[in-house]
Amino acid sequence: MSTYLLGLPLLAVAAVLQATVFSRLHLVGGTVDLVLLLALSWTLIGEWQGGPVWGFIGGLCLDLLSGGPVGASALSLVAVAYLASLTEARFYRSHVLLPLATVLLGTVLYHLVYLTLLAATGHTVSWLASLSQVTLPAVLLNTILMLPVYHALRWAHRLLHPAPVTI
Amino acid sequence: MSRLQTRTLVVAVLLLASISLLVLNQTGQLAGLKGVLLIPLTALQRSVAGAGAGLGRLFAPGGDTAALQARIDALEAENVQLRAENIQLRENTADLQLLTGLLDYERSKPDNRYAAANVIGRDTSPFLGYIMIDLGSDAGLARDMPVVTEQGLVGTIVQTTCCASVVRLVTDADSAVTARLQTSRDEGIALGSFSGGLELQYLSQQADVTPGDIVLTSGLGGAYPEGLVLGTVSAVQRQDYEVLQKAILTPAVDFNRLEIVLIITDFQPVDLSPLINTPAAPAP
Repeated sequence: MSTYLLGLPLLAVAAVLQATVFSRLHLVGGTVDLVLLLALSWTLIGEWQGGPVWGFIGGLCLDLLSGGPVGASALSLVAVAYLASLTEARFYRSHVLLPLATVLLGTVLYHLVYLTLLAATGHTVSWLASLSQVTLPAVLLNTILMLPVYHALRWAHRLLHPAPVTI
Repeated sequence: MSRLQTRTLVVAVLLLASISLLVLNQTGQLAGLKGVLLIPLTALQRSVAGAGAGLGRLFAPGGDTAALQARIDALEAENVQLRAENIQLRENTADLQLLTGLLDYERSKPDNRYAAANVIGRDTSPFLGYIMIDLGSDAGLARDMPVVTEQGLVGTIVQTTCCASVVRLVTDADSAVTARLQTSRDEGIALGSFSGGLELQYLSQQADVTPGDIVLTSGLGGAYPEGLVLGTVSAVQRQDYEVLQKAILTPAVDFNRLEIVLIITDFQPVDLSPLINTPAAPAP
């Protein structure tokens, strides 16, 4: 339930922030993918099923605020969050490298899937320029911001799901 | 059913929903739903955009530096206005030299009607060049209306809901505007590029183009009014062995500082599709 209670308002605000604030703060052509960071962090916190749902909700909000095809961000984020959820029980969850490696690969995959969908729906895509001028800077920005976002969400998750006290 | 199987099922449903949305979007059946869903998001976006502007002013430098900055801003604004007036005057002169009849026709045309709108957001995808404005169909806006500022052409409306519209910038990679060099009157097509720039392509090898030339909309094709400023030529790429040459343009509009735009509400784009799709008449 917390997936929706926390997710819906948080992801809507994140999408609006991405359209108003983060779209102006760019490195070369890349910007922070705040919704991607939230969906990946929620997945890695242990919400293995909730993460892809956040990807869908957040992606839909992004699509609504974009001139691009509706469903493209949603599909890309669901796919990336699902792949991130497959790390369950394979890695030590609180290892610092797990969120960093996930966001690095996740950003590249998210952009690749999104660009493929843009091309498939008739938009002009310049692959080389897109990957070098947008994806690479975005990887750097997302990697820098991943740990603060991840730890903030982990704190919120603990508030919503306090560990049971045993006497 | 194991947890992994349940998760895979949920993800499959979400992927299916996303693909359905994509298909509905491509077939144009999502406009109504999108309009409804956008209402709360647009309201949120409007308030965040306002707060963002206030936040920007909060971080502005203080004291004398602020006064100097204000003076520089005022002078820059005046400079932009004077340059726009200068360009307009030169365009009028060129029109006079061409055909008096055309000028008479221009004088007889009623003045354009404008609607002013605030820019409330940019595209959430860095791969696309769109902006969102806070006026929609309720204010009489419709698809294909040109959007301008005092600096020149901004783009065209591609989607409208009741209270917001999406504008495709002329610098978007999918944008193409028929254009003309102000001095030589040579024509080409100004195409947007991924990097947010403009290129004037399909110029003949004989076209007289030099850096500094001003490029305007030509009005050919009927999608845009004639004479709107697109930018200035910053570089020319000409190879003797090629059929065409192209020019790199510096856009007239500063797309990073768009706050208020004007929509030409009485412009009627010409729909050429019936002419293009009409099969050729059989030979007698």
